[in-house]
This record gives sequence, C-alpha cells and structure tokens, in this order.
Amino acid sequence: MLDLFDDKVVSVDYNRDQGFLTGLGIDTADKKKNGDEAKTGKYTGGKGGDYEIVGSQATQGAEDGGRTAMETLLSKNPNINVVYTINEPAAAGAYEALKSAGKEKDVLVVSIDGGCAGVNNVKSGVIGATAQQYPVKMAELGVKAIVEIAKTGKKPANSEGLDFFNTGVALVTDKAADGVTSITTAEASQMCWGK
Amino acid sequence: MTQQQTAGPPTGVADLAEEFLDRQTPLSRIRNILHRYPALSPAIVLLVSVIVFGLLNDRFLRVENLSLITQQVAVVGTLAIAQTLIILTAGIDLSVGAVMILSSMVVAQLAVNNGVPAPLALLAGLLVGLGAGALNGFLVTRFRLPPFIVTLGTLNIFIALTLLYSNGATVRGSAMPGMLTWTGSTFLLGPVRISTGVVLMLLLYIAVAFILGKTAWGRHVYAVGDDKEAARLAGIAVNRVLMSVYLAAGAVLAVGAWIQIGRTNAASPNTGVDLNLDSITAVVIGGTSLFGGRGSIWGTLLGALIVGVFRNGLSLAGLDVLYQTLAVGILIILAVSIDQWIRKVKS
Repeated sequence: MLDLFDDKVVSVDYNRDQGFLTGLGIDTADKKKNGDEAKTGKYTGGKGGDYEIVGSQATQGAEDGGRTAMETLLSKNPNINVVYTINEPAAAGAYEALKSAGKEKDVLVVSIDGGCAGVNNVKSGVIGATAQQYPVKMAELGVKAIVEIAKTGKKPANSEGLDFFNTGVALVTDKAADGVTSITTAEASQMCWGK
Repeated sequence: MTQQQTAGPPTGVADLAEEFLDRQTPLSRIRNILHRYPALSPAIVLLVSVIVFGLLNDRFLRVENLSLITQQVAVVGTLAIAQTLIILTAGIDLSVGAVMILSSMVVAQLAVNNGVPAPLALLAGLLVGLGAGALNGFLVTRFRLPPFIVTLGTLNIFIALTLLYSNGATVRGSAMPGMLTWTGSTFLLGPVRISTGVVLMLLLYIAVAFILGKTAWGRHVYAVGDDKEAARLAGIAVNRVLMSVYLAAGAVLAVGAWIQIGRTNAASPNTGVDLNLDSITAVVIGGTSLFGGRGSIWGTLLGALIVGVFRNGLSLAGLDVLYQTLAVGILIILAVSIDQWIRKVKS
C-alpha cells in the first residue's frame, strides 16, 4: 500500500487506501486509519482467496517517494504482486523501483486520479488500472449547487445509498477484467484533466 | 592565553586540577576523542543502528537492501553537501530542495521541449544552480540579511518559478536523452549493485572533503563560521568567502538535480517536498554545529545514511510510517544534545 503522507493525516489518504481494501473485500478495521487492517486473511472480492499485506509506506504523492516506498516494501517481501498507489506520480515512481528489480512484468500497479499523464502511463503499461475522477465536472456541479442554494435554499441531496454526492468515477484500463466495468485509455484520454 | 595566566595561581591551579580530573574519568576521555573527531559519533550511531536493524529483520542486512539505502539517500546526501558548506559558515539554506527541483525542470524541459542537446541542458541546469546561489549569497552579503530569512524568501521564489516555468507538468524520463537519466543507471561491483548517482555523490564528498581540509579556502570557510569578526581581523575577505560558499552550494545542487532526474526517471515539480529540511536533518545528525565553524563533511554523509537506515529499518521491522517520522525527530534531538555535551570539552 503506497499511501500519501507520513507527517499528516488527511481524508484523501485514508479514504483511497481503505476504499481499495474494501473493494477487495478486506475488513479495514478503523475506516479512518491506514494500516490497521489484518495483515493476512481472506479477501472476498472477485473469486476470493488468501491475502497478505506486506506493508504501508508514505510517498508524499510524488515519484521519488513512490520509488523509495516500493523499494523498501520489495526489500521486505520480494513476492509482492499487487501495488495500490495513492496517485499516479507515486505509481510512476513505484514502477521505476519494480523495473530496477526486474519485476515490472509480474506486478500489477493500480492507482487513482485519471489525469492525462496518468492515463498515458496506463496506456504504456506503467500502471495496470487507474480510477479516473472528473474535477471539471465536480467544479461545474459544485457551482450549480451553490447557485441552487442561493436561489432556492435547496441543498443537494446525497446520491442514492451513499453519504455523499457522487460525481462519477470510471476505471481506466486496456486489460479489462471479467465482471468489472471499465473504459479504455483511448476513451479516458478524451476526458482526462491536466492536458 | 598568556603565560602569566597559565602559570600563575589561582587559574593555573584550577586548570591543572580540571585537566587532572579530566584524565581521571573515562567519560571525559571519550568526550575528548569525540571532540577531536566530529564524524566519530555519527559513525558509531550508524554502526549500532545497522546491527540492531539487522537483528530485527534478517532481510535488512542483505546486500540488495543496503545498496537500495545508498540509492535512496543519494539525492538528499548530495543536497546535504551544499547544506553543510552553508551551515559551516553559521548560515542555513532552506531553499536547497527548491533550487534542485528548479534546476532539474530547466534541464529536462530544455532537452525535451526545446531540443537543446543534453550537455548544454545540463550546463543550463548548472547555471540555474549558480544563479540561485548567487542570489542567496548576494542578499546575505550585501543586504546583511540573516540567511534564514533570505532563503525562506527565495524558497518561495524558487518554488513559484518552478511551477510557472513547468506549468506543473512532469517531464518523463523516457522522452529524455540518455545522458540525463544516466545517473539512474546501475552496475555490478562484485555482488553489489551500485547506481551512477551514488558514485557521483561520493565523488562530490571526496572533492569537498579535500577542499575543506586541504585548501586555504576550506580553512577560511571554517574561520568565517567560527567568528566572522576574528576572520575579518585576520585578513579574510569574509563576504567573498560567503559568496563563494553560496555559489559552490548552488553548483552542488545542480549535480543533485541530475541525480534526482536519474533516480525518478522523470523531472517533476512535485518531488522533493521534504528535501529542504531533510538536508538540514542529515547535517545536524552528522554532528555539524548549527552555530558554524565546527563539523565534518563525512559526518554529513553518515547523517544522511543514518536517516536512510532508520526509515528503511523501521519499515522492515513493520513500524507504521508515522512512527518513522517520530523516530527521526528523536534522533535529531539526541544528535544535538550529544553535540552540546561534546562541545563542553576544554580545548
């Protein structure tokens, strides 16, 4: 688990980390605390099976931190097969560490954000899959909601079944897995941010 | 000291008595030795921590892991050279990381977006480093501003320039000419994998150790840091020495930029956020005094390695990342306390 910070605790850090684990069907214990989940056990996502979490490291969300974090975890256990990364620069750094250890072909790196640079990295195989978000749409809907509140006083309702308003997210990969909805990098680069 | 003072009572007796007492306790003998060799205490800390972490996790002492630690400290170790030079003059540089990143962005963008040949792009990076050093040095010597304030200001200036220049975009290593990422290449020396960046860093340490120890300029740096006024009275052109130190630091930072590009295989304005302070951490743990005039460049290398060993060792031992930060904090306090204790020695 390549997380964000080692000098502050922020919601984006634990929400992404714990969201990834929840998706795999791993109990995260305290939802607002990274790294307190059981290190070994059974996951229920997909076909299910046994898992082992080698460790959680901070990356500062950047290439250099991503590389150092990945190197350290590989030192701890060279048989890592899946790497969660907080964002795409950290993923790119992790890839450099994997390449240097000759493991870039055997390890799946997943990430979050879907910026254009990140989508390019999915295309070139650095990142296996990334969850794309849409900041322009968030801003658009946010301003609309403010206008609505100012005019009518009506607050936006949470999306059905969620405790927040869902502005949408799509999984970007060129190697679609059965039973998982995803879009290709070609589609994703049409709507990525930071062109 | 005049002869009268040492020979005549009562000071002479007191001095003799103290010297006599000093010889009696093993503790003060240790202190004398540590005082004479400033790199000795960080060397002991490094040795002990390597042994302890080796006992905690048997993977720690593997050659591959130790080689990784050297690669992980290459950038901060290089920046810490520049930081040591400045701290030896009783200054401090909060902008080292920002200068390094600005330099790396200029090198990468010139080479990739403007088609400048790699050697010329690296030369431009060196000029950025020298220019930044010149700005810091100019403000410190001409306006007589404290280095802390100057570099706090230029830190923000360099960060802003980096983002304005790069537009926040990362330049990927795959688009760069091979020479720029050469510092990230590795070779085998027996069973040990060594990166070119680490070799470059070590060469810089050897060069700076030689210059500080064996040249008049090196003596002047220590003299200016120890007591500016005394140095001036001894005929040292204090401002010229200070300016040259900031320029030298800028040049070192440009090399650091090259090493950073190789290590991350990219030039990114997001990297190195902690490097400004991490370089100071390495210098302090390495036993160099923040009051200037005392310290050793080899201590700094040991300091950088100690931090690298702690972060790696604590991770392998399975400690949460927040505790790693805690450990580094305790390490700093311990290092400075030991330094204070050693400095109490009678010279």
